[in-house]
Amino acid sequence: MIYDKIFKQKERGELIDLLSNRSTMNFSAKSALLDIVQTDEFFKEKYPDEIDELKSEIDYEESSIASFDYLKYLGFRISQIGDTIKVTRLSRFYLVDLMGVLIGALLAGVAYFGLAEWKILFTVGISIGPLVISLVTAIIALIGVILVARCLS
Amino acid sequence: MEYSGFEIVRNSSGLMIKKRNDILVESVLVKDSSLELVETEKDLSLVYHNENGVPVTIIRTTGGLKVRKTLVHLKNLLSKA
Repeated sequence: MIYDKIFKQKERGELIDLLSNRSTMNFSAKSALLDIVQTDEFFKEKYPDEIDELKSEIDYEESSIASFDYLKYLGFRISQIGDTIKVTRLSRFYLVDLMGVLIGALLAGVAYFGLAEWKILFTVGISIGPLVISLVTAIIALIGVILVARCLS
Repeated sequence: MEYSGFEIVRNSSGLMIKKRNDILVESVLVKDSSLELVETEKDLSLVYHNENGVPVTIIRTTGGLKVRKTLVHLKNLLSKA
């Protein structure tokens, strides 16, 4: 873990600062900090309350993980009735997917306006105006196709 | 985050995954043993192996530790239920 490496390189004074600012740290950093301070006799003697608080903060987040509170960040919800467990997609994520498909399709449709310019390029010859317009419309259309593909993947 | 599973239902009949197949939606009955977590440097994916043994991603995340641990809990819950 990246935080383990970072914290192992820190001076004791820096670790004390981190311990007192633990509330601003993320879960991975808190876990890595706890691993270090709870095995160091200096911290165990001087900062037992801070270590206990850090432990309880981590325990709280662990219990939230166990009760699937963070499943919403994956776009799902879970329900358990009897021996049936059901994991379903959150409706607002359906909406995001739908919007992505619609916007992607609109962007892809821009290619239509570039067709005439491509025709000019291949019949009349290369000139700056049609070349720029055809390339820009092609790039916008490509972005649209990628967006649709990502929303449907 | 990517996904292909819309709905995962685990009951006495087994594990049923309603998933997207291109733009169509299909329901697949999945063996418990075929459910697996695949971790790379970038992401963690919950996958099942189809009848041809090909891994099919149900949920994929590039998120942090809390989200990854949640996916591990979910896999364990769906496997052991």
